[in-house]
Amino acid sequence: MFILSKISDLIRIPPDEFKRDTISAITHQLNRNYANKIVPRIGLCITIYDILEVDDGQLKPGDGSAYINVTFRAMIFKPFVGEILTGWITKCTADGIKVSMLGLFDDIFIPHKMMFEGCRFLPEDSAWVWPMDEETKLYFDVNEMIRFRVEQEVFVEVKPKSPKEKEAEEEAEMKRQQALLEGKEDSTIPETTVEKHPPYAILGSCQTDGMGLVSWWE
Amino acid sequence: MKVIEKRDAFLSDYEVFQFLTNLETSHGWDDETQALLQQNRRKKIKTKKPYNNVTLQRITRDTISYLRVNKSYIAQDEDEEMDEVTKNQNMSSPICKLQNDQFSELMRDLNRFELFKIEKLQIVNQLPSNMVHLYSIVEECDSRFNEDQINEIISIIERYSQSQ
Repeated sequence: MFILSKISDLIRIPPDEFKRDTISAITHQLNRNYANKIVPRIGLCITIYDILEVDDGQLKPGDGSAYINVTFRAMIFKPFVGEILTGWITKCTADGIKVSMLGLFDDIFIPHKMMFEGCRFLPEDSAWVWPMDEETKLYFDVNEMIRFRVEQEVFVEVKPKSPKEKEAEEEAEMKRQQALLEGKEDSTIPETTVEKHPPYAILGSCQTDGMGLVSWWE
Repeated sequence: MKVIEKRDAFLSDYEVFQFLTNLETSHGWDDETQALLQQNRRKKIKTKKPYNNVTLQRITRDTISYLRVNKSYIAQDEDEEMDEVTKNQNMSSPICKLQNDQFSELMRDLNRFELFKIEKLQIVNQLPSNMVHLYSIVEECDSRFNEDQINEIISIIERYSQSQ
């Protein structure tokens, strides 16, 4: 589930960090840059594991900071394809099941074509059901613990928000708060935040024995 | 940023858990230090502030709490009569109870079987308690091992996941 990746990067140490010793100043800067961020085409960086190499610092004209080339190892959440993971169901839609790993990682999706054969979606219960045989029907309910196999990783290059998007978001937030103040609890103002593609997502499958809700196989 | 080696090493959940709990204590983010800080604040005693890095603190806490949950234990109705202590024990993953020497012993025990590295990694991460779970981790388990061997693997895992 977790790996170590060797990465080198040029980091900037601002002058107010000079009072610290080199290693802790570097670790601090690296953690600010990497902790809880997606490293493109690798995975989700949890923290810096250790620092392997520190070059001499460089100065740039017009800036009091030190620029240092460092080589370090980062602890990264990157399940390999075929790995079995456990998560919790957060949402069932007609397309499939959304699974979350309790704050660690949320963007896991099990599309309907990667579920057991014969699985159906019940819109009235908003749950998926797997008719295992004639009599038993097994339900995929929200908040249940689910085991799945990692099938594919999806990386999307995410652009930073444009000023227009930011403005629109702020406006929507203002409107929502105003509606709340006026006491309209069930206000009809839709949440404008369009669901964007997450930079790193995992596609999972539930097709073999042992997969699906943990309680089925106990 | 330049990636020199994408996969320098694999880490087991146990190692990650140890590393992160150490990180949490050394930065003063664990519950004990936090409680002490609160106390001192109330009594207006000046104490050294813990390292301030909100994102790192949050992801460390979340990862630890994910690893701490026992993923093969299902709460049952009859459990409600149990006292809090046993309930908590059942809820927490065996990973946080293991010791370093126990972990290496478990590894040594598993080395006796012809398992691939990646399968061993998943076994020590998930500590499967039943056959179905083990079969899903180990590919073509039924042709590579006979029933006795499979039962032995399960009993080894059980011994370590239940030891205190």
